[in-house]
Amino acid sequence: MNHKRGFLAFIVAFVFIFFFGFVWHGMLMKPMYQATASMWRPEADFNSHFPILILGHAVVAFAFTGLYVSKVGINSAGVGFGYGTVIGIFACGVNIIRFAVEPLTTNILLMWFAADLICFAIMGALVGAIYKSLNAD
Amino acid sequence: MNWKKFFIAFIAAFVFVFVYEWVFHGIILKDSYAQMSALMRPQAEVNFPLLIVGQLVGAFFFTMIFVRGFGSGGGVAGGLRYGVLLGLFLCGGIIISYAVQPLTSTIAIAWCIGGIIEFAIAGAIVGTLYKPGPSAA
Repeated sequence: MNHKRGFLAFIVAFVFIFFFGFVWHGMLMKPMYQATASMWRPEADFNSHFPILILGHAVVAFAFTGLYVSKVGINSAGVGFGYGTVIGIFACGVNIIRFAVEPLTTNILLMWFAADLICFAIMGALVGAIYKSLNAD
Repeated sequence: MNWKKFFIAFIAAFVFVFVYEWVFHGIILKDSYAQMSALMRPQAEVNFPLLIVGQLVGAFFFTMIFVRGFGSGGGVAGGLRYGVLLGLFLCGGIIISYAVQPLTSTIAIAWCIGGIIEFAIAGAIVGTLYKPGPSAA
């Protein structure tokens, strides 16, 4: 395992998912979340939980990169894209379960589908392009 | 790819996930959900068929990711490691949800630990049941 490349891939994945989430959830979906305000923390409460939000993104990026590094390990943006796509579809299954038990709107569910598919596919391509195993050369 | 073994592993993973989540969420955490009823659909409005669809999608792609090279190999131990990493991936999503939704910390911690245990066992089941077919086939 190439720890240096793995760490670099993790940092890039973390930065990407954080900014993707900021744009997608914080800007694009903001009106949808405002329309269902009772389901979300108020602004001040959310701000006090911001470090936990960062921790959550770091855990997702770590596990996503860790799985690629330990189980795939191929230096290829295309393979990474495929890996991210199937992980994204898997995440959509979790979204469906949440929709079944939580009073989310259909628009939020569809936007979460799109977010997971786009975000993890790109994240996979980035990780695949960056990670290179020690015996690859 | 050994489709027969894949299908058996997928069905076993789905049955396990269904029973585990019924016991974990429907019985063990039932009282905890009563404390955050604003975030949950009333019992009569829970979309049970959609819940099953979500579990089917999750179990199918959980098995598919393992089988199609993104997590294959290693038998039971390999499946266990794969399940732990995917459980950790979902745990990151739960931490993000806790930061933005007024979930109780008890629920967030239970979801994380319960989710990692769930997917570790599901990974061990898939790792046990799936055996690649002859490479020439």
